[in-house]
Amino acid sequence: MSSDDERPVLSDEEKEGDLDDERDAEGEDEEQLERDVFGEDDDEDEQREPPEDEDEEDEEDEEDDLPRAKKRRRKANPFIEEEAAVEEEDEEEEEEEEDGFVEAGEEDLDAIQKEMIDMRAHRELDRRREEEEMDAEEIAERMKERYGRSELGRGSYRGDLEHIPQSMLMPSVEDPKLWLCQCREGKERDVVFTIMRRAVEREMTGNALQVLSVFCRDSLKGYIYLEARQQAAVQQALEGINNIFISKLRLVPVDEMVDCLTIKKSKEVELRIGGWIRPKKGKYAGDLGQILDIRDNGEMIICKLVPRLDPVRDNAKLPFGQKRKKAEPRPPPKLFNPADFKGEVRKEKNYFVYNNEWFDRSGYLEKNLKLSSLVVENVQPKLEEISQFSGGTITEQPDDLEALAALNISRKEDLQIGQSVELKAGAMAGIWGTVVSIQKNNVGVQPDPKEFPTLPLISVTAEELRKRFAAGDHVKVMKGMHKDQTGLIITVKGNIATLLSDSTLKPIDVFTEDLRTAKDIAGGGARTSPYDVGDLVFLSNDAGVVTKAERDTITVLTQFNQIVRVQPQQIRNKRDSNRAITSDANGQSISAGSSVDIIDPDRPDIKKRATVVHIYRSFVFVKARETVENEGYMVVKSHNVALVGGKQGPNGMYQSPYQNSFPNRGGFGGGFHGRGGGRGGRGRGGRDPLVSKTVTISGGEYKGYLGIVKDVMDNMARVELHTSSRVINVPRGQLLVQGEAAGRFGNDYNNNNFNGSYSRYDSIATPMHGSKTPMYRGDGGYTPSRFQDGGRTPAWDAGSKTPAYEGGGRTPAWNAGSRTPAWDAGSKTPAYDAGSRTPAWDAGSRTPAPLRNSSPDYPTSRMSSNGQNGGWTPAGASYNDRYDDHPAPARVEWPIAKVEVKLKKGDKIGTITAIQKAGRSATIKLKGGDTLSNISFDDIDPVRPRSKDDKVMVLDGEYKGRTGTLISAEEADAIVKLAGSQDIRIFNMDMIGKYVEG
Amino acid sequence: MSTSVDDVIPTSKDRRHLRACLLCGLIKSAAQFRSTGCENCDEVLHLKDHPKRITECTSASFDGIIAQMRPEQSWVSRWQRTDKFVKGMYAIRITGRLPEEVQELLNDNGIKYRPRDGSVRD
Repeated sequence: MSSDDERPVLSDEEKEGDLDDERDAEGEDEEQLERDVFGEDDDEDEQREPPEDEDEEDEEDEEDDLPRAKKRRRKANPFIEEEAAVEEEDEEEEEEEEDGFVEAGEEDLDAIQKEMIDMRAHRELDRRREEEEMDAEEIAERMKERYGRSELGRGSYRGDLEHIPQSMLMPSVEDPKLWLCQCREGKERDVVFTIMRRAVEREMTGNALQVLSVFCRDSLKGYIYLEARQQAAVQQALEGINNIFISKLRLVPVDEMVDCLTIKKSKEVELRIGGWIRPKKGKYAGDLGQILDIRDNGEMIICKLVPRLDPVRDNAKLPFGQKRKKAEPRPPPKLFNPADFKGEVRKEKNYFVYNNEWFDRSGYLEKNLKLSSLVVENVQPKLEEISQFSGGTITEQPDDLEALAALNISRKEDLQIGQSVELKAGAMAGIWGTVVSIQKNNVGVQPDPKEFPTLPLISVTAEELRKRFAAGDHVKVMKGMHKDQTGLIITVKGNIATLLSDSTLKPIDVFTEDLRTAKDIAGGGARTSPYDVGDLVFLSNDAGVVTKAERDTITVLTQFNQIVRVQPQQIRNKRDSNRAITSDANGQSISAGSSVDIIDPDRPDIKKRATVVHIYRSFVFVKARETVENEGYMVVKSHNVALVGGKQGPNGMYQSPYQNSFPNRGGFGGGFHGRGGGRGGRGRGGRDPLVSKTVTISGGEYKGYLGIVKDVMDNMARVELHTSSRVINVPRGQLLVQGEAAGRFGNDYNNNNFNGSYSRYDSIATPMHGSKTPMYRGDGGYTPSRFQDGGRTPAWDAGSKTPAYEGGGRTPAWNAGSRTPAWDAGSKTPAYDAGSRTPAWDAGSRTPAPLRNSSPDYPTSRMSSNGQNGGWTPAGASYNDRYDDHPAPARVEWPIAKVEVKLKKGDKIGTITAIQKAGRSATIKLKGGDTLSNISFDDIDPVRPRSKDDKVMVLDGEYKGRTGTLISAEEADAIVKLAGSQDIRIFNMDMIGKYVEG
Repeated sequence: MSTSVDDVIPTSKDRRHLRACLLCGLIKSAAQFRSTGCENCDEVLHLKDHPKRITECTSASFDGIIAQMRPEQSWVSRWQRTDKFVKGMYAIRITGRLPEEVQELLNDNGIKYRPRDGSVRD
């Protein structure tokens, strides 16, 4: 059915009507308004001329633009024009539907987009009307005029005249029943209409529908209700109806029937002129708009938007019959500039009209949008948007912006007690004070006592307040683009504050509403971004290093030396390149952490020192300390760098230990080169010396196996076992090089452990290691890192193993640790060396070291290891490799009163009751009751607590003397809850003893 | 009043611009309201040919559509107080109220106006 069929009669009628009563009775304005909504008549007239193909209509629109407009202007009635547009639109939409071209989401907006409305005129009219309405008498007059006839006409109104309360209408069992039927979502209305049509069609036939009513609710998607006496009637009604799932039919219980028809009043949305909205769909979806006017009972909103026009595309005339594609990306928002659309813009009062859209003098689009197509609640415009809305940056049009910003009301949730605020509206505007209370609707403000000493507490709504900040305040941004940034306020203009960001040191503009006083300094980018400066990241095509990480933008220096700014989500992933390795200009291997000289191929004499940060293929990302740009990051080709000291004689070897501070292979690589240089520059490139060596595995699951090293990564080696040809990963510390090779490597540094080759430098270069407890050190083998090769402290190597050691008297160096001379003196008894120490003692004091078992051999084997690599037994090596998280105390100066002890001779258990330090003896009360005095310290061992809840005493260290409760005991660790605190600590078993109370 | 089906029931074509009478809840397209008024209330509201009144006394914002086929027998119609009205489509709830003046006029005529905006339960 075409629109022409439906309406021809109307227009005449309408015209008459207009002439008859409207014009005389209510004058021109009224007429305009009436036509405003139902102005089709005029339009009909125009449109009737060409009964053209619908497809041409688009074309028509554009081409006809000017002549038509003229016609309308002649009539001096912009509303007719507008509604004409609406009407056209209707037809167009339908026709589009038929063409299958419409994307449901865009219809509304597109429709409205084409409406030409002189909104200004509308508003003027409204205003005029409002003025008129002030005159109550006149109103009464007019209403009488308009509705007066109804006094007569009431007769046939069949509405509810008797006042039956609804409670009398409650459904009973006699009433018809309701059925709930599932249907396809979105088709509810269609189904209801279809059934209605069917009912009408069959009304007079013998097959009339027996259902009484059918209904759907917008809030209940995918269901319709049918009212009938029998289910058969429902089935009859639904038979053959599309989109119905008749099998999903359910009877509604009588007591639920009322609920089916109860729709709660939707939450009233408060609309006000000047408020912010966002269209939900169409070209402007999500954009910020401002309400200029509200019409039609709040159904139609006239909005101000920043237009999104594309001069090129919009100008392009489409070939005959071709529709504009809807999927094109929308143009960026930009204020309308008539110069961009020369020849197609006409002026109408204070507006530019282009493509049936109206733009005000400043270039904003004014548009009629349906309330239902708008987001009106919780719009929360961001400052960035508002500043765009105001046509650029804030500083450009301060007045404009302030006016706009003033509309950005503050919300109760944003306020905090103690916040300094200013009243921005009402009689008290300008008064400031402190928020003292926040209630449901009101905020209590205590006016500033200094400035307004006489004023009492004021209670206002949050909307009337503005947060008040002064220059110099340190604040944090709570919302928007700059969320989480902190900074110092430089200036405050209206409710816009400019602050100097702590992280970027650049000024940023934010709403004061979005600020909060802050004490902490936020890292801004660093904390909120998953990427950090210096990260190696991968973009869609490039790799690069992050030179700046902000919350929403990451600046990346790509391998092609380009600076790109991307959003975090554009980054595919980040990697470390610790294992990446490449060769420098001299063919030496470099890796992350290597110190290199950048060589400019044109000026080989100028070098720039930098540190390799990442390696990506042949691109080396380096960081040069002296460079300011890009935070010092640069990208160079690998052949344009040279490893520092790579081929430079003996001093090369001293490079390595320093590089070793990089916790990756770079360190090792460097070390190797250093050593290589030291041995005459063998220059074996980047290959690890271990590779292809035959090794024995000295620890772990494969201990004792023989294999060939296939590859070395970091501190793991891949070893192909001779026996099974399997390749396994072994920590390199567990490898012993076989035969000749071992000797050669070992000769240089007196051991066969590669890591050991720079261990001594380590201990020099990284004093941290040295800072481990002296006793730890002093004991020799217990170093925190396998790389340190254990006890090879200079002192040790330099000859601390004097014969005296063997003989029992230790050198000061050895003793430098925990032992008091007294202890030493006592312990170096022949008995000690002869093996009087029980295995238990050893096992305990040296943590899990199953390899170090027999004490008599112990010193000897150590001696033999010194200077003789080949002589190292696997056991010895693994001893070096032992790695212990807990600094293991050697021998604790433990004897403390009230600790349970065991006599070495006789296995008696007792408790220390007194200690004679000088004599290194203790008085012990035995379990049986006897008291033994003068028992040498060496003859007793502390009894270790073993079971949960044992009382323990800490024998040494920081917590010496503290008591506690054993929570659990592992092999060598005891977890102890210290008495008198909630502290739970892990102690070496050597450090604690069983405590006897009393 | 003789009512033709096409006057009362919106065609699928009109379905985009439906409005509901604020007094009786009848749903029609704006064009239908203009051409034939409200089949139930035109005696009092005079919507026919008076677009201005149509904008005032009908609303495009409503929720739920009832196809009322046999109002005299239907509980739904009775509950909705549309059982005396013509067959047709009715809104369950309508946003908006009749203008004050109209309400007064109804009152003067002994017609109780029950807003259909869901706010009144009696």
